[in-house]
Amino acid sequence: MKPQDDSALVDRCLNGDGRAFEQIVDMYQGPVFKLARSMTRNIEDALDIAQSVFLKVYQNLDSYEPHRSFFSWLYRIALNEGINYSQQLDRRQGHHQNIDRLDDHSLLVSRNASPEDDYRSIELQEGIARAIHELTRKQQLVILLRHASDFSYSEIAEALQIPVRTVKSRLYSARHNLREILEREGMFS
Amino acid sequence: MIDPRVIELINLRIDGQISSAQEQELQGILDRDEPARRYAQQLKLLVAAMESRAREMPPQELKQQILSAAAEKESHSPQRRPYSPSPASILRGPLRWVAAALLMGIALGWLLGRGTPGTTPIDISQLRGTMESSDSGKTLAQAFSFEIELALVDVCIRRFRSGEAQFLEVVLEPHAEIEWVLVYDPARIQPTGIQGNHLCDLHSSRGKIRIRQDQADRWLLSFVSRDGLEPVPMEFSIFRDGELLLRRTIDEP
Repeated sequence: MKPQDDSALVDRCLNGDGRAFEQIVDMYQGPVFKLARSMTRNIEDALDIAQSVFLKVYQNLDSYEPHRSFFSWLYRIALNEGINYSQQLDRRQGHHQNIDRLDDHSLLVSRNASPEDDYRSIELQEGIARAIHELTRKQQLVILLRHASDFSYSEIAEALQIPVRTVKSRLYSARHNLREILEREGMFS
Repeated sequence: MIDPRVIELINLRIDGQISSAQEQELQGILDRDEPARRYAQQLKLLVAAMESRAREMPPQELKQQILSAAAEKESHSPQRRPYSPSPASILRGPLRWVAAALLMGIALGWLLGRGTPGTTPIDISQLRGTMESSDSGKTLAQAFSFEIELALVDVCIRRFRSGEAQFLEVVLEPHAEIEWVLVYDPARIQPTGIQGNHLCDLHSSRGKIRIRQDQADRWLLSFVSRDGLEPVPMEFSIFRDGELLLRRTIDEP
């Protein structure tokens, strides 16, 4: 959707057109849910975050500036919600999560993988979820759009209203930094 | 140290953007360069781990949950105020520039030069006002308050510190109809403002500026910096009929 279409949708929503908000949810629930899912340990938490994101969007539509990318604005709200969730979880349960409590069975685990492989895959995902918080906001946005929401370079560029070459640069830096962090933590050993 | 060119090729391969010539080139490098091969394997593993969790689609009930929650919120909150355009959209409409107004800079500028345009920094400690200190035992709060009465607007600047955060509050009480105000954080040159009953926030590189109407016809602009006690300059610009009347920077006293 083009930025001007988003602005028109926001205008309609602010003027009391409930169908417009429904359209916003239809268009963006996928990317928001995937982002939330990539930052949480179970589907219930991801659903809570996604719902909270759209409520914030709904309540703050009048602070959206039409000349900016709506998706970028919404995605930043989602990113903040995801980060808040992770920080609250860390405070409640300590920095290192208890792997036994994870309910992810759809991770990087093949059906024939050994228990040890399963464990390492889950551990890597947990490591990534933590390491993402050490990236800059710009890098977080780009890498999550690429790998959580499956956006192409050009889709990211359009969503964030930045050149494709900037997308590449931020994405490559984000991956590089994540790799450094994970290596430092012994995740690749 | 891996050659940046090799890193770029590895990333292009991961994203499926590599050409056949580049693929051939990369494979040749990886065949003979152990650190590069290890780097490529690690990035591949990293990306696969991230993407595996993102394959799930949102359950069908999510949309209904969101819409129900929004409807619930709507029924428990005051009626949504009529939409008014943001300052940015106002700027795009030249007719809306007419009868523009105010702000702190005009007050400060009035004191120093009766509204002469310029960019002279102003030290608010030069203004008449009061200073209050209080010590709760945990945090020391110091507040500087300045009240300036003008024909157009009363301005009260209050700056205080608490712990590692500093706060700047500007209370505006206009006596005349005010259409809008522009406030710039010079570090970002990003405008925010007040227009009608439209409120907006500015997220600056240094903290957050929030504008709200705390009483009828009284506006409160607050700035909170969380990066220590470094001075936070702010720039105020006042326009009328599309013409810059005044620009002032306010610095730490």
